[in-house]
Amino acid sequence: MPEPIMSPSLTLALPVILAVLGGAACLLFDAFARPRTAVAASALGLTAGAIAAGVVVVDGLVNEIAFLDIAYDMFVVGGGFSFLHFVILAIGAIILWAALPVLSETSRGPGQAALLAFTAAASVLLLGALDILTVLLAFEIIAITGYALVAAGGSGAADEAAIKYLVQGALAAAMFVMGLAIMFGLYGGVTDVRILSSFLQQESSEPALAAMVLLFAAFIFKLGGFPFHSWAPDAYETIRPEVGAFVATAPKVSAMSALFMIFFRSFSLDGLPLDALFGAGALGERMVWLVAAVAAMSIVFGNTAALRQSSYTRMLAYSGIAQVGYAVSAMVLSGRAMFHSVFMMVAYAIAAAGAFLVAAAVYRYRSDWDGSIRGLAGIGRERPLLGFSLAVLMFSLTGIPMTAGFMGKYLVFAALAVNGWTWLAILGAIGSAVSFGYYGSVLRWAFFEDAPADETAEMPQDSTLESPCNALTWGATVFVALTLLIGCQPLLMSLDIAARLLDLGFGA
Amino acid sequence: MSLHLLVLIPLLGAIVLGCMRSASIERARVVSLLFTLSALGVFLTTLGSGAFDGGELVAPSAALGELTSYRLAMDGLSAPFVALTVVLGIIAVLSSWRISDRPAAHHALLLALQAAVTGVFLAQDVILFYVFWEAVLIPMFFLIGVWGHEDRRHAALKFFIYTFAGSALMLIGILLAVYSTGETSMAGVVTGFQAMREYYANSGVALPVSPTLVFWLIMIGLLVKVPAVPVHTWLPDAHVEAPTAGSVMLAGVLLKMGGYGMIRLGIPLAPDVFADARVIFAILGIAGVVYGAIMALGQSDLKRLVAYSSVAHMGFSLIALSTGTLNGQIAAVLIMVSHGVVSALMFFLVGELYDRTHTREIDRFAGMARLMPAWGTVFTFGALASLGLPGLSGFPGEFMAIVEGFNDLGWWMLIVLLGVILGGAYNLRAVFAVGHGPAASEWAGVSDLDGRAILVALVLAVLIVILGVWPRAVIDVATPALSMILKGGA
Repeated sequence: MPEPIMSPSLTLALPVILAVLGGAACLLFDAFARPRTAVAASALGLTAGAIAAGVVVVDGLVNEIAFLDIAYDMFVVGGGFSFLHFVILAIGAIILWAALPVLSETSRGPGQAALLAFTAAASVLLLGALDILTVLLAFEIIAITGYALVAAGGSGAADEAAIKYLVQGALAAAMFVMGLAIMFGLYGGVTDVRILSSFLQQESSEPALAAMVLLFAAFIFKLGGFPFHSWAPDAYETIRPEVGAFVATAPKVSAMSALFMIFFRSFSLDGLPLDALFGAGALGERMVWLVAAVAAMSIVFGNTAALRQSSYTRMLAYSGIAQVGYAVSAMVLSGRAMFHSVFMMVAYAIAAAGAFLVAAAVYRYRSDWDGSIRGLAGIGRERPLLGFSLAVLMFSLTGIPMTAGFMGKYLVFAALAVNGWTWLAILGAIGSAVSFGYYGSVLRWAFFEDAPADETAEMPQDSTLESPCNALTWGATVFVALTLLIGCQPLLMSLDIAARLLDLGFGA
Repeated sequence: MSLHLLVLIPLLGAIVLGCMRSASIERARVVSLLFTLSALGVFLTTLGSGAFDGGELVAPSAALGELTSYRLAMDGLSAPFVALTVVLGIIAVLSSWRISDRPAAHHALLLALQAAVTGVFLAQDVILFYVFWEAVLIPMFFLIGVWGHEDRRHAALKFFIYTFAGSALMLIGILLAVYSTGETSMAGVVTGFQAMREYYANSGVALPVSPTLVFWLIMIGLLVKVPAVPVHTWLPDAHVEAPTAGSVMLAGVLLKMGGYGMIRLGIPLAPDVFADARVIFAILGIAGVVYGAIMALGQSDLKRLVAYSSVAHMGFSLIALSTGTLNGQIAAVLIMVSHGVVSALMFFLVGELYDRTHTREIDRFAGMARLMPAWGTVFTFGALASLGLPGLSGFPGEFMAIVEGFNDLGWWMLIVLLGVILGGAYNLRAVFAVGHGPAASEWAGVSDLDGRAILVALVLAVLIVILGVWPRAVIDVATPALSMILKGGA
C-alpha cells in the first residue's frame, strides 16, 4: 500500500499554517504601508494552503486510497476532509486575488484580507474536529472575525449590523457552552466526540436531549438557518461584497460538515467508521422532527422573505437561509446523507461567492449603484461577461440542470424522496420554483431593462475604476466555470469522482 | 450518429452565433438559417437512408455514469415531433428575419432552443429528458424577456416560474420512479416500475412509493406544459409577449412536450392509475376546449386570440388522450402535429401584420385582405385550418378525438361540440373583423407579404394540406410505436 504523501499531522497543519502565515504577513506588510503587497501575501498564503491540501487530494485520487487519518488525535484529515480544506482555501484565494485591486485601495482593506485568511484557517480547523472544545474554539474564531469584518463595512448601518451579529452570536455561543456544560455533567468531562457519540447512542434522557438541541441551535445560528437567521441579512448587506463572498459561503461548508461530525459520526481510533451513528439512536429519533422542522421553516421563510427584497445582497442573504434549509433537510437521513448535504453546501458556496463578487464588480462599474436589484438594469447588455456570469450563477442558485446547484439539489431531493421523506423533497422543489421569483428578477433587471439614459451617457470610465472591475469580473467568471464544471461533470461522467472527493468515511 | 447531429448542429450554431456578438443582422440570420437547414438536411437524410423504418432508431449511446446516460433514439412517436421541430426551427429563423436588436444573440437562443427541444423528443433516459426539458426554459426566458413586446418582463418571469414549478415537482416524481426501479432509461423505468409493483404485490409488503403520488407528480409538470386549463395562465401572456419566432416555437413545439411526455412516460408508468384518473383528464380537456374557445371569442387582441385557440386545441388532445385507446393516442398526436403547423402559421401572420402596423387590436383593423391580398388569403386559409375544415390538417385529429370521445364519454361530448362551434365562431370572427369590410384608411399604404413571407406561408400551407388529405403520413409512422408503448413494451 502506498504511503500517504504527508503525515496526518502535516496534512492538517500545513494548509492551516500557510493560511495563518499569509494573514500574519499581510498584517506585517500593512504596518509598513504596503497595502498591495499585504493583500497579495494573504492571497498567496491561501493559495499555498489550497495547494498543500490539493496535493493530498490528488495523491489520494492517484493512489486510489481514500485514507482517513487522525492528526494530533483531534482532527480527522485526508480524503474528503482534505478536499473540503482545498475548497475552502481555494474559494478564499480566488476571492482575494480577484479583490486584490479593490482591497488595496483603502486603509482597511489589508486588515480585512488578513481577517479573511484567519477565518479560512479557522474554517479548516472546524472541519473534522474530534474534540468538542476544538469545535467551540474554531466556531468562535470564525464568529469573531465575522463581527470584525462586518463592522469594517464602515457605515453606521455596518456598525449596527455588527453589534446585532455580536449580541446574537454571544447568545449562540452561550447555547453551545450550555449544551457542553450539560454533557460535562452527564459524562464526567468527556470532550472527545467519538466517546461522546458512543454514549449518546445509548442515551434517551431529557438532559442529553436538551444538550443536543442546544448544540444544534448553535450550529443553525452559524449556518444562518431559521429561526436564528436574523443577523444574516443585515450583516451580508453591509459587509463589503468581496469580503461577504467568503464570509457568507465557505464557513457554511465547514459548519455543515462539523454539524454532521458531531451528530452523525463517530470514529474508531484507526479512522474506520463505526457502524452505530448518533442519528440511529433514540435521541436521534426524537430530534429528527426538530431537524425536519428547522429545514422546512428555513426553506419556507427564506424563500418568502427573499421574494420581498429590493437589495441584491440582502436578497442573497435571505435566499441563503433557504439554501441552508435544503442542505439541513438531508440531515433527517443519517450516514451517507452527509455527502448530499456537503455537496449541496459546496455548490451553494461556489455560486454564492460568485454572486457576491458580481455585486462587488457592479459597485466598481457603477459608482452610484445603491445595491438594489433595480440598479442592475442594463448590466447584461453593457457588460456581457458580467451578465453571463450573473445568469449562470442565478440559474445555479435556482437549481437548473447543468449547474452545480442542480446537482446539489438533485442529490438532496433524491435522497429524501427515496428514504420516505417525499414531503420534504416536494417542499424543496416548490421552494426552488419560488426562488426563481427573486433570482429571475435579478436577471430580469440585468437583461430585460435598459440602463437609465443618463448613466449610459457617462459610459467612458476612468481606468482607476476599470481594472478593479475587470479583476472582480474575472473572479466571478472562475466561480462560473467551477459551477458549470461541477454541474456537467456528473451528467457526463459519473458521480464516483465527486463521491470519492467528498469521501468523509461513510463509504459509498 | 444522425440523431446526435440533430441536437449538436443547432447547439454548435448557438455557440458560433454566441461568439459573433457584434455580427450584422444579415450575417447572423444567414448563419442561423444555414444551421437550421442543415439540421433539416440531416433529418431528411435519416429518413431517406432507410435507417428509420418506423421502428426504433437508436443512436450509439455514450456510456456515462450512474446518474444518466446520453442515450438518444427516435421511434414512430418521436419522429413526427422531431420533424415539427426541425421545420419550425427554420420557420422561426425566417420569422425573425428583421430582428435588428442584437440579432446574433437572438438567433443563438433560437438555435439553443431547437437543440433542447429536439433533445426532449429524442432522449431515452429520464434524467437526460429532464435536463433537456429544463434547458428549454432558459433560451425561451431570454427570448421573451429581451425581444418581446410591452409586458415582456412580467411574461418571461411568469412563464419560467410556472413551468419550472411544474417540472420541479416532476423531477421528484422522476426521482421516485428512478430510485425505486434502479433504472434511468425510459423503457427501463416504465417496465421496472411495473415489475416492482408486482413484486411487492406478490410479497404482500407495502409499496415503498405510492404509484398514485409518482403519477401525479410527473403529470403536474406535463399538464402545466400542455397546458391544461387551471394551470394555463402562463400561456396567453407568454405567447402574446414573445417575439414572433418565440411564439412560433412556443405554440408550435414547446406545447407538444407535455402531450409527448404523457404518452411516453406519464401514462405507461402507471396505466392503472391513469385508468382511474381518465375522467379527470377528460374534464380538463373539455374545460380547455370550451374555455379556450370562449376566451378566444372575447379577445380584442389578435395575438391573444390565437394564443387562447392553443388552449382549446390542446384541450382536444387531452380529451383524445383521456380515452386511453390507441386511436385516442393517434388522434392526440395528429392534433398536436397539426396544431404545431397551424399555430406557427397564425403566429407568423399575426407577427407580419404587427411588423407593419405595430398594433394587434382587432378593432383597429378592417379590410386588411383588400390592402394585403396575399396576407388575407393565407390568413383565411389558416383560420379555416384552425377551425378544423375537412381536407385541412385540423380535421382528422379532431374528428378522431370526437369519435373516440363519444365511444368513451357518450353524450358529454356535446359540450365539446359546443367548443367546436365556438371554434368556428372565433376563427371566422377574426377573418371577418380583420380581413373584410371597408379598408381602414389608417393602413392605406401598407405593404403585402414579401417573397420570404410568402415562402414561409406556402411551406406551412402545403404541410397543412398534406396532413389534411393524407394523415396516414403521421398515423402509419406513429401507430406501431404507440401500440408498443400501450402494450407496456415501451
